[in-house]
Amino acid sequence: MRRIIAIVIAKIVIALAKLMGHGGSNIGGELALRICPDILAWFGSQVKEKIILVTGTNGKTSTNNMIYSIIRQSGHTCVCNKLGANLDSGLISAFINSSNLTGRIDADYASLEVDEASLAKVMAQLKPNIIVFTNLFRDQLDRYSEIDAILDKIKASLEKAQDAVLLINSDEPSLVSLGCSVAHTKYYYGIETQIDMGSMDLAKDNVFCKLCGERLDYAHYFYGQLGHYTCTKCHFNRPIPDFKAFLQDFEHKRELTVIGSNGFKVVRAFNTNETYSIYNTLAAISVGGLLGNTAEIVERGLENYRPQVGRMERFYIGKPITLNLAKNPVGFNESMKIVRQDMRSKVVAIGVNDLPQDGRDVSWLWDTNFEILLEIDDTIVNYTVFGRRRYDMALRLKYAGIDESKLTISETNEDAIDNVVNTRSDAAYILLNYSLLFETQKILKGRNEDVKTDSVPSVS
Amino acid sequence: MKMLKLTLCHLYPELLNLYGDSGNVLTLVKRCQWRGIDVNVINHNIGDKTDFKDVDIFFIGGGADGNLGIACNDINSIKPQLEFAIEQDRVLLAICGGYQLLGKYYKGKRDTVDGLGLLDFYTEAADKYFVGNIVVDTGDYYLVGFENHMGRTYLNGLNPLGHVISGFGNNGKDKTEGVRYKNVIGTYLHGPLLPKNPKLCDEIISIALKNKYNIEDLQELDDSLEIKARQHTLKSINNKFISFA
Ligand SMILES: [Zn+2]
Repeated sequence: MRRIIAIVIAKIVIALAKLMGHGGSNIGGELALRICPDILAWFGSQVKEKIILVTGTNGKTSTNNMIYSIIRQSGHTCVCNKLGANLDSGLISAFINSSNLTGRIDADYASLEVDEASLAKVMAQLKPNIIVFTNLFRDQLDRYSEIDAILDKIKASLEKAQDAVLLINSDEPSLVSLGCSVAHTKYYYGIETQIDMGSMDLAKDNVFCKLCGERLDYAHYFYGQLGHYTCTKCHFNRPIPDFKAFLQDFEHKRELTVIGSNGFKVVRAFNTNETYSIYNTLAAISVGGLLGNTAEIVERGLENYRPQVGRMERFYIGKPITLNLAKNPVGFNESMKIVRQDMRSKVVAIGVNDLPQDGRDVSWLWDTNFEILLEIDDTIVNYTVFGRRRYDMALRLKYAGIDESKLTISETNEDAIDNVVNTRSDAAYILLNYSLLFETQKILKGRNEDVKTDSVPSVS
Repeated sequence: MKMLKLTLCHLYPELLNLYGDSGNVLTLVKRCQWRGIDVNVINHNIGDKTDFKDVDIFFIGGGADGNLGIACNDINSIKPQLEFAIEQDRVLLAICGGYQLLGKYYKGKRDTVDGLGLLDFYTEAADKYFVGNIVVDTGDYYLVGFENHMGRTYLNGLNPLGHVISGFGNNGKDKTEGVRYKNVIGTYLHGPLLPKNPKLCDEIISIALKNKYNIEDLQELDDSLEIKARQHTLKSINNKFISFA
């Protein structure tokens, strides 16, 4: 009975929240969790085939949605928190959305992205069959404190799920060190081709060996701390991937070939400026392979995948406007590298909030390489800053060296979009963090003059 | 006129780089450059043989606990040079973990790590993080920043950098924030500290210029954006604080 009350109330609240335009909200799930604390375990027990969790700092939402597309393509039903609400309450909301009023779900699979700091809480209730790890970059410092602390937490929660198969990015040393320290069955995915992802010069998060403390030796960097590394002091090494990715560049596209065991081979083409989404695609393809799908199903699933709100989402309001979510230094750096490729005259708007879901500590703005924008400063006619931490952002840009006369500080999201639209330019980019996304996207959608939007996936 | 030139040494930027602290170095460099003062930034990392003789300003930031341990092993080897520099009135700005490192020890949850012992204070880890905006009165001006720390620092009678108006500070009890000994400034304020506190940044530059060139006056800069940013933060804490900007 308690369960049914929880579900009915939550369904009403979720419907109300949607009406009021609060997409991606956790409220419904939070209520249900309060009324019925073990509701997640109960939902999980109804999943017939497998539960897949996707965790890590960046790329969770895109990876998870691609996995969902592949599973749907294989003819199965699947519960998925598509919008990226990834705390336990968000997962509950996803199940409630797929359930009837008595809480029955009809799902072969559940593919769920989980906040890396919430993994322990979630795994106390759900028994995952596969856990996908994307990467661990520095993120919201007040909640997660440090990567070492997160690694400890993840390790502790893995002890409760000895049967789970781990799928780990072989190019990410901190995750690989985690893999080395647990006895689980592990599969690795990694990029073999040593391509330039335009980040050779950017901040690396943790380049010290987690086992012995020695500086890691990199034969090649992709971005962040991702690359081909080895420890010269102990035996820590990049593992040979079970799913190997090869990249080949053509004039306007980049082709990704993923090779697994038993002749599993998937090919996928990208625009050249989508490099950062390669890892997400690679991880999703690997899951597709682990689930026993044919290459054809995986390829068709990926073709049907549509990126979520705010992932390089395009609008047209007097000019093309691109909206992209970025939540941390690596996410912002990767976003700005896309902006850097566009030589049209443009407005760049940056929105930074500091609500709990964003992280209250915004000092990471100073670990983010906004100097990237300075390289194309002559094409940027205006920098618009908005959000609760707009003045921190304004100062960051001032000290990056931009001309203050090009800077507009907008008090509201509407003002920011007005300024983006009304400033004369050929294009505009809006980069923002999580809690600003849905409201801003709603305003843009309301004013959009072009119904045909064209999006590509993002790092976030 | 001869070009003025200062040397800034960033200690362990590879290890202690967690909380945007490189923004402090950037701010020092920019506020010198905007005045036509040249700055040479030396990064001192583990195992480097750095000549500290000409360093005017030392900077050390915060980092992950594990990395602090690694830095601590190395920093002991340069302790005599740092001690000498401090007695020569050189500036040492230390933030968060870097600040804790200057004291006698850091008693963590698992074990106790010896600090450099340059100053006679100590730090103990608590369970709860002190997180949020903080306002500190130094006597001359107000500092505005963000704190995010688990350590509780006790000064043993040393002079604090200032007194807490809003926030937690050294330990949440005695209303002190940071430490000040000669030109050593230790503090939990980040965000980072200097962009929003141009008066402190300029005080550091002034000390360095006085030490090296015996120059007293510093050219004014247009700080209207910095002041607006301070007002914005102060107002978000308490409307009454806006005059502290
Ligand atoms: Zn090693």
